[in-house]
Amino acid sequence: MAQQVRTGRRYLRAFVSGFFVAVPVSLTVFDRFACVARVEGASMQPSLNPEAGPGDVVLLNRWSVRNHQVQRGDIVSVLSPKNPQQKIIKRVIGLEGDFIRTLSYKNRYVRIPDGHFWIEGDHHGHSLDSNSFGPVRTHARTHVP
Amino acid sequence: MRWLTYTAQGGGPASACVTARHFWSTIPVQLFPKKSHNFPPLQQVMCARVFSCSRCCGCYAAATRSRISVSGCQIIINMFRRTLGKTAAFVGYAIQYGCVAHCAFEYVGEVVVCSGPSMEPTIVSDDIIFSERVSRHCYNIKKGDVIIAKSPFDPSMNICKRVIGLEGDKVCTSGASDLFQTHTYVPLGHIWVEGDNRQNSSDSRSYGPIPYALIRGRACLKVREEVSWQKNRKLACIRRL
Repeated sequence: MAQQVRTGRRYLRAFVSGFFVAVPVSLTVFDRFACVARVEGASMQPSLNPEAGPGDVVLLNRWSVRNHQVQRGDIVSVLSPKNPQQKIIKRVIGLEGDFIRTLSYKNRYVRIPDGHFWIEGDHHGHSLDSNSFGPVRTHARTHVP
Repeated sequence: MRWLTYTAQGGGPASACVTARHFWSTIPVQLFPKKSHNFPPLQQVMCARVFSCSRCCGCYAAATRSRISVSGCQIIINMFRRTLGKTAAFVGYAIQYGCVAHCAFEYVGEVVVCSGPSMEPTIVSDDIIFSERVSRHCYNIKKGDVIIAKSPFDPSMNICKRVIGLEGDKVCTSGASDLFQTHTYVPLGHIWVEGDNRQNSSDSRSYGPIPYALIRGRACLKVREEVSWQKNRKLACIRRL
Protein backbone atom coordinates (compact mmCIF):
# COMPACT_ATOMS: atom_id res chain seq x y z
CA MET A 1 0.00 0.00 0.00
CA ALA A 2 2.72 2.40 1.02
CA GLN A 3 4.65 1.34 -2.05
CA GLN A 4 1.69 2.21 -4.26
CA VAL A 5 1.28 5.59 -2.62
CA ARG A 6 4.93 6.33 -3.14
CA THR A 7 4.81 5.32 -6.79
CA GLY A 8 1.69 7.38 -7.32
CA ARG A 9 3.29 10.37 -5.71
CA ARG A 10 6.36 9.99 -7.88
CA TYR A 11 4.25 9.80 -11.03
CA LEU A 12 2.29 12.85 -9.93
CA ARG A 13 5.46 14.79 -9.33
CA ALA A 14 6.88 13.78 -12.70
CA PHE A 15 3.63 14.77 -14.38
CA VAL A 16 3.50 18.17 -12.69
CA SER A 17 7.11 19.01 -13.48
CA GLY A 18 6.68 17.91 -17.09
CA PHE A 19 3.48 19.90 -17.33
CA PHE A 20 5.11 23.07 -16.10
CA VAL A 21 7.85 22.68 -18.67
CA ALA A 22 5.79 21.59 -21.64
CA VAL A 23 2.91 24.05 -21.49
CA PRO A 24 4.93 27.30 -21.38
CA VAL A 25 7.40 26.05 -23.95
CA SER A 26 4.71 24.99 -26.41
CA LEU A 27 2.72 28.19 -25.88
CA THR A 28 5.81 30.27 -26.52
CA VAL A 29 6.64 28.32 -29.66
CA PHE A 30 3.09 28.73 -30.96
CA ASP A 31 3.10 32.42 -30.13
CA ARG A 32 6.53 33.36 -31.36
CA PHE A 33 7.69 30.94 -34.00
CA ALA A 34 5.05 28.95 -35.80
CA CYS A 35 1.64 27.47 -35.42
CA VAL A 36 -0.59 25.25 -37.48
CA ALA A 37 -4.08 26.21 -38.60
CA ARG A 38 -6.79 24.83 -40.81
CA VAL A 39 -8.31 26.96 -43.55
CA GLU A 40 -12.06 26.98 -44.02
CA GLY A 41 -14.11 28.67 -46.67
CA ALA A 42 -13.65 29.49 -50.32
CA SER A 43 -12.27 33.02 -50.10
CA MET A 44 -8.69 32.08 -51.02
CA GLN A 45 -9.45 29.78 -53.95
CA PRO A 46 -7.51 28.66 -55.95
CA SER A 47 -4.37 28.99 -53.82
CA LEU A 48 -5.92 27.56 -50.65
CA ASN A 49 -8.80 25.11 -50.51
CA PRO A 50 -8.85 24.46 -54.29
CA GLU A 51 -11.77 22.09 -54.01
CA ALA A 52 -14.45 21.57 -51.45
CA GLY A 53 -13.82 19.08 -48.70
CA PRO A 54 -11.60 19.17 -45.66
CA GLY A 55 -9.71 22.44 -45.49
CA ASP A 56 -6.02 22.92 -46.16
CA VAL A 57 -3.68 22.91 -43.22
CA VAL A 58 -1.23 25.82 -43.18
CA LEU A 59 1.79 26.63 -41.09
CA LEU A 60 1.69 30.21 -39.84
CA ASN A 61 5.19 31.58 -39.62
CA ARG A 62 5.07 34.07 -36.80
CA TRP A 63 8.79 34.71 -36.54
CA SER A 64 9.00 36.58 -39.83
CA VAL A 65 6.37 39.17 -38.83
CA ARG A 66 7.80 40.06 -35.44
CA ASN A 67 8.74 43.50 -36.80
CA HIS A 68 5.38 43.94 -38.54
CA GLN A 69 7.03 43.84 -41.95
CA VAL A 70 5.03 42.19 -44.70
CA GLN A 71 5.41 42.42 -48.46
CA ARG A 72 2.82 42.73 -51.17
CA GLY A 73 1.66 39.30 -52.25
CA ASP A 74 2.17 37.64 -48.89
CA ILE A 75 -0.66 35.62 -47.50
CA VAL A 76 -1.37 36.80 -43.97
CA SER A 77 -3.68 35.75 -41.21
CA VAL A 78 -5.20 38.55 -39.15
CA LEU A 79 -7.84 38.90 -36.49
CA SER A 80 -11.02 39.93 -38.20
CA PRO A 81 -11.92 43.58 -37.55
CA LYS A 82 -15.61 42.67 -37.55
CA ASN A 83 -15.37 39.88 -35.05
CA PRO A 84 -12.23 39.69 -32.94
CA GLN A 85 -12.82 36.04 -32.09
CA GLN A 86 -12.37 35.09 -35.73
CA LYS A 87 -9.19 34.88 -37.74
CA ILE A 88 -9.16 35.48 -41.47
CA ILE A 89 -6.53 34.58 -44.04
CA LYS A 90 -6.05 36.86 -47.03
CA ARG A 91 -3.43 38.16 -49.45
CA VAL A 92 -1.72 41.51 -48.96
CA ILE A 93 -2.44 43.85 -51.87
CA GLY A 94 -1.10 47.18 -50.68
CA LEU A 95 1.05 48.49 -47.88
CA GLU A 96 0.93 51.81 -46.08
CA GLY A 97 1.10 54.81 -48.39
CA ASP A 98 -0.06 52.94 -51.49
CA PHE A 99 -2.86 54.09 -53.73
CA ILE A 100 -5.34 51.31 -54.37
CA ARG A 101 -8.14 51.09 -56.91
CA THR A 102 -10.77 49.24 -54.98
CA LEU A 103 -13.27 46.73 -56.28
CA SER A 104 -16.35 47.49 -54.24
CA TYR A 105 -15.30 49.84 -51.44
CA LYS A 106 -17.18 53.05 -50.82
CA ASN A 107 -14.36 55.09 -52.35
CA ARG A 108 -13.03 54.21 -55.79
CA TYR A 109 -9.45 55.14 -54.97
CA VAL A 110 -7.99 54.82 -51.50
CA ARG A 111 -4.70 55.88 -49.99
CA ILE A 112 -3.77 53.43 -47.28
CA PRO A 113 -2.95 55.21 -44.01
CA ASP A 114 0.16 54.56 -41.95
CA GLY A 115 0.24 51.32 -40.03
CA HIS A 116 -2.44 49.75 -42.21
CA PHE A 117 -2.49 47.49 -45.22
CA TRP A 118 -5.01 46.34 -47.76
CA ILE A 119 -5.91 42.67 -47.91
CA GLU A 120 -8.10 40.82 -50.38
CA GLY A 121 -9.07 37.24 -50.92
CA ASP A 122 -7.95 35.56 -54.12
CA HIS A 123 -11.51 34.62 -54.94
CA HIS A 124 -12.95 38.02 -55.81
CA GLY A 125 -16.58 38.43 -54.98
CA HIS A 126 -16.66 35.50 -52.57
CA SER A 127 -14.45 37.03 -49.99
CA LEU A 128 -15.06 39.32 -47.05
CA ASP A 129 -11.98 41.53 -47.18
CA SER A 130 -10.75 45.11 -47.21
CA ASN A 131 -13.29 45.86 -49.93
CA SER A 132 -15.93 45.61 -47.26
CA PHE A 133 -14.17 46.77 -44.11
CA GLY A 134 -11.40 49.00 -45.37
CA PRO A 135 -7.71 48.81 -44.63
CA VAL A 136 -6.74 46.72 -41.62
CA ARG A 137 -4.28 47.52 -38.88
CA THR A 138 -0.96 45.78 -38.78
CA HIS A 139 -1.58 42.88 -36.49
CA ALA A 140 -0.65 40.08 -38.74
CA ARG A 141 1.17 36.87 -39.24
CA THR A 142 2.44 35.57 -42.52
CA HIS A 143 2.40 31.93 -43.30
CA VAL A 144 4.03 29.30 -45.44
CA PRO A 145 1.55 26.80 -46.79
CA MET B 1 60.15 13.47 5.87
CA ARG B 2 59.54 15.22 2.65
CA TRP B 3 56.63 17.45 2.02
CA LEU B 4 55.38 17.35 -1.42
CA THR B 5 55.90 19.97 -3.98
CA TYR B 6 52.77 19.95 -5.92
CA THR B 7 51.43 22.36 -8.42
CA ALA B 8 47.71 22.81 -8.40
CA GLN B 9 46.29 21.63 -11.60
CA GLY B 10 42.81 21.36 -13.00
CA GLY B 11 41.28 24.15 -11.02
CA GLY B 12 41.32 22.85 -7.49
CA PRO B 13 43.75 24.64 -5.20
CA ALA B 14 46.01 22.21 -3.48
CA SER B 15 46.35 24.50 -0.51
CA ALA B 16 42.71 23.95 0.32
CA CYS B 17 43.60 20.37 0.91
CA VAL B 18 46.61 21.17 2.96
CA THR B 19 44.95 23.61 5.28
CA ALA B 20 42.45 21.11 6.48
CA ARG B 21 43.32 18.74 9.24
CA HIS B 22 45.33 16.15 7.44
CA PHE B 23 46.72 12.83 8.28
CA TRP B 24 49.26 10.75 6.54
CA SER B 25 50.13 7.17 6.46
CA THR B 26 52.70 5.12 4.71
CA ILE B 27 50.71 3.95 1.73
CA PRO B 28 52.08 5.51 -1.40
CA VAL B 29 49.20 7.28 -3.02
CA GLN B 30 49.01 10.36 -5.12
CA LEU B 31 47.68 13.66 -4.03
CA PHE B 32 44.51 15.00 -5.48
CA PRO B 33 43.19 18.51 -5.46
CA LYS B 34 40.08 18.69 -3.41
CA LYS B 35 37.53 20.42 -5.53
CA SER B 36 38.00 18.93 -8.93
CA HIS B 37 38.47 15.23 -8.99
CA ASN B 38 40.80 15.37 -11.90
CA PHE B 39 43.69 13.11 -11.38
CA PRO B 40 46.95 14.84 -12.06
CA PRO B 41 49.40 13.24 -14.42
CA LEU B 42 51.91 10.98 -12.78
CA GLN B 43 55.02 12.91 -13.49
CA GLN B 44 53.79 15.80 -11.43
CA VAL B 45 53.19 13.75 -8.35
CA MET B 46 56.25 13.52 -6.18
CA CYS B 47 54.77 12.28 -3.01
CA ALA B 48 55.23 9.04 -1.28
CA ARG B 49 52.65 9.50 1.37
CA VAL B 50 49.00 9.70 1.60
CA PHE B 51 48.22 13.31 1.85
CA SER B 52 44.56 13.78 2.28
CA CYS B 53 42.23 15.78 4.43
CA SER B 54 39.23 14.72 6.36
CA ARG B 55 36.92 16.38 3.88
CA CYS B 56 38.58 14.71 0.98
CA CYS B 57 37.71 11.15 1.84
CA GLY B 58 36.15 10.70 -1.57
CA CYS B 59 39.42 11.47 -3.24
CA TYR B 60 41.25 9.27 -0.88
CA ALA B 61 38.93 6.35 -1.37
CA ALA B 62 39.01 6.71 -5.10
CA ALA B 63 42.73 6.90 -5.08
CA THR B 64 43.23 3.88 -2.93
CA ARG B 65 40.75 1.87 -4.91
CA SER B 66 42.64 2.25 -8.12
CA ARG B 67 46.03 3.65 -8.69
CA ILE B 68 44.94 5.81 -11.49
CA SER B 69 47.25 7.32 -13.96
CA VAL B 70 45.04 9.27 -16.22
CA SER B 71 46.58 10.86 -19.22
CA GLY B 72 46.25 14.58 -19.85
CA CYS B 73 44.07 13.97 -22.86
CA GLN B 74 41.41 12.32 -20.75
CA ILE B 75 41.49 15.17 -18.28
CA ILE B 76 40.80 17.61 -21.03
CA ILE B 77 37.99 15.41 -22.31
CA ASN B 78 36.49 15.24 -18.83
CA MET B 79 36.71 18.97 -18.41
CA PHE B 80 35.15 19.51 -21.80
CA ARG B 81 32.35 17.11 -20.99
CA ARG B 82 31.63 18.81 -17.70
CA THR B 83 31.64 22.26 -19.27
CA LEU B 84 29.36 21.04 -22.01
CA GLY B 85 26.96 19.53 -19.49
CA LYS B 86 26.86 22.71 -17.47
CA THR B 87 26.27 24.81 -20.58
CA ALA B 88 23.47 22.54 -21.74
CA ALA B 89 21.82 22.68 -18.34
CA PHE B 90 22.12 26.47 -18.29
CA VAL B 91 20.64 26.80 -21.77
CA GLY B 92 17.80 24.47 -20.85
CA TYR B 93 16.95 26.44 -17.75
CA ALA B 94 17.21 29.70 -19.67
CA ILE B 95 14.77 28.46 -22.31
CA GLN B 96 12.39 27.15 -19.70
CA TYR B 97 12.30 30.31 -17.63
CA GLY B 98 12.14 32.44 -20.76
CA CYS B 99 9.07 30.55 -21.88
CA VAL B 100 7.47 30.88 -18.45
CA ALA B 101 8.18 34.61 -18.49
CA HIS B 102 6.75 34.96 -21.99
CA CYS B 103 3.57 33.17 -20.97
CA ALA B 104 3.25 35.33 -17.86
CA PHE B 105 3.67 38.53 -19.88
CA GLU B 106 1.40 37.31 -22.65
CA TYR B 107 -1.47 35.84 -20.70
CA VAL B 108 -1.36 37.21 -17.15
CA GLY B 109 -0.12 40.75 -17.15
CA GLU B 110 2.77 43.11 -17.56
CA VAL B 111 4.15 46.27 -16.06
CA VAL B 112 4.23 49.36 -18.24
CA VAL B 113 5.54 52.86 -17.70
CA CYS B 114 3.25 55.53 -19.08
CA SER B 115 4.44 58.79 -20.54
CA GLY B 116 2.58 61.71 -21.96
CA PRO B 117 -0.20 63.99 -20.75
CA SER B 118 -3.24 62.46 -22.42
CA MET B 119 -4.59 60.67 -19.30
CA GLU B 120 -3.58 63.50 -17.00
CA PRO B 121 -5.79 63.42 -13.88
CA THR B 122 -5.80 59.64 -13.66
CA ILE B 123 -2.37 58.74 -14.87
CA VAL B 124 0.39 61.31 -14.95
CA SER B 125 3.61 60.91 -16.83
CA ASP B 126 6.06 58.29 -15.55
CA ASP B 127 3.40 56.40 -13.66
CA ILE B 128 3.96 52.68 -13.45
CA ILE B 129 0.93 50.59 -14.30
CA PHE B 130 0.20 46.89 -14.06
CA SER B 131 -1.95 45.83 -16.98
CA GLU B 132 -3.64 42.47 -16.84
CA ARG B 133 -4.38 40.61 -20.03
CA VAL B 134 -6.89 38.06 -18.83
CA SER B 135 -9.91 40.26 -19.50
CA ARG B 136 -8.70 40.94 -23.03
CA HIS B 137 -8.45 37.22 -23.73
CA CYS B 138 -11.88 36.66 -22.16
CA TYR B 139 -13.44 39.57 -24.12
CA ASN B 140 -14.32 41.19 -20.83
CA ILE B 141 -13.48 44.83 -21.58
CA LYS B 142 -16.16 47.18 -20.25
CA LYS B 143 -16.92 50.83 -20.62
CA GLY B 144 -14.83 52.98 -18.32
CA ASP B 145 -11.83 50.67 -18.27
CA VAL B 146 -8.41 52.12 -18.92
CA ILE B 147 -6.77 50.01 -21.59
CA ILE B 148 -3.32 49.68 -23.10
CA ALA B 149 -3.61 49.28 -26.88
CA LYS B 150 -1.32 49.34 -29.86
CA SER B 151 -1.23 52.59 -31.69
CA PRO B 152 -3.15 52.28 -34.97
CA PHE B 153 -0.48 54.16 -36.88
CA ASP B 154 2.70 52.75 -35.42
CA PRO B 155 2.44 49.11 -34.32
CA SER B 156 5.55 49.42 -32.17
CA MET B 157 3.97 52.11 -29.98
CA ASN B 158 1.36 51.64 -27.30
CA ILE B 159 -1.36 54.02 -26.22
CA CYS B 160 -3.18 54.21 -22.90
CA LYS B 161 -6.78 55.45 -23.10
CA ARG B 162 -10.17 55.02 -21.49
CA VAL B 163 -12.87 53.00 -23.23
CA ILE B 164 -15.84 55.27 -23.93
CA GLY B 165 -17.96 53.09 -26.18
CA LEU B 166 -18.15 49.48 -27.21
CA GLU B 167 -19.45 48.13 -30.51
CA GLY B 168 -22.90 49.41 -31.42
CA ASP B 169 -22.76 52.39 -29.05
CA LYS B 170 -23.56 55.91 -30.12
CA VAL B 171 -20.72 58.25 -29.24
CA CYS B 172 -20.23 61.96 -29.49
CA THR B 173 -17.38 62.86 -31.81
CA SER B 174 -17.34 66.61 -31.40
CA GLY B 175 -15.34 68.55 -28.87
CA ALA B 176 -16.86 70.24 -25.86
CA SER B 177 -16.67 73.73 -27.36
CA ASP B 178 -18.14 72.84 -30.74
CA LEU B 179 -21.41 74.45 -31.63
CA PHE B 180 -23.02 71.39 -33.17
CA GLN B 181 -22.64 67.99 -31.67
CA THR B 182 -21.94 65.17 -34.06
CA HIS B 183 -22.58 61.55 -33.25
CA THR B 184 -21.49 58.30 -34.75
CA TYR B 185 -21.98 54.61 -34.13
CA VAL B 186 -19.08 52.37 -33.20
CA PRO B 187 -18.87 49.56 -35.79
CA LEU B 188 -18.79 45.88 -34.97
CA GLY B 189 -15.62 44.59 -33.39
CA HIS B 190 -14.33 48.08 -32.58
CA ILE B 191 -14.12 50.24 -29.49
CA TRP B 192 -14.09 53.99 -29.00
CA VAL B 193 -11.26 55.25 -26.79
CA GLU B 194 -10.57 58.72 -25.46
CA GLY B 195 -8.00 60.20 -23.14
CA ASP B 196 -9.10 61.73 -19.86
CA ASN B 197 -7.33 64.94 -20.76
CA ARG B 198 -9.64 65.76 -23.64
CA GLN B 199 -7.89 68.98 -24.62
CA ASN B 200 -4.54 67.31 -25.09
CA SER B 201 -5.14 63.85 -26.39
CA SER B 202 -5.11 62.26 -29.81
CA ASP B 203 -7.65 59.49 -29.62
CA SER B 204 -10.65 58.08 -31.44
CA ARG B 205 -11.95 61.59 -32.10
CA SER B 206 -9.05 62.03 -34.51
CA TYR B 207 -8.50 58.54 -35.87
CA GLY B 208 -11.83 56.86 -35.38
CA PRO B 209 -12.70 53.68 -33.56
CA ILE B 210 -9.93 51.13 -33.09
CA PRO B 211 -10.41 47.38 -33.60
CA TYR B 212 -10.57 45.08 -30.64
CA ALA B 213 -7.51 43.17 -31.87
CA LEU B 214 -5.28 46.10 -31.00
CA ILE B 215 -6.03 45.93 -27.27
CA ARG B 216 -3.14 44.63 -25.24
CA GLY B 217 -4.51 44.71 -21.74
CA ARG B 218 -6.55 46.49 -19.09
CA ALA B 219 -4.75 48.68 -16.60
CA CYS B 220 -5.76 47.52 -13.16
CA LEU B 221 -3.15 48.70 -10.67
CA LYS B 222 -1.16 51.87 -10.48
CA VAL B 223 2.08 52.47 -8.64
CA ARG B 224 2.61 56.12 -7.84
CA GLU B 225 5.87 57.69 -6.87
CA GLU B 226 4.96 57.31 -3.21
CA VAL B 227 4.17 53.64 -3.91
CA SER B 228 0.47 53.80 -3.24
CA TRP B 229 -1.48 50.98 -4.81
CA GLN B 230 -4.86 52.10 -5.95
CA LYS B 231 -7.50 50.24 -7.78
CA ASN B 232 -8.04 51.94 -11.06
CA ARG B 233 -11.76 51.34 -11.11
CA LYS B 234 -12.11 52.80 -7.66
CA LEU B 235 -10.14 55.79 -8.84
CA ALA B 236 -12.46 56.16 -11.79
CA CYS B 237 -15.47 56.13 -9.46
CA ILE B 238 -13.92 58.81 -7.30
CA ARG B 239 -13.20 60.85 -10.36
CA ARG B 240 -16.76 60.61 -11.54
CA LEU B 241 -18.01 61.78 -8.15
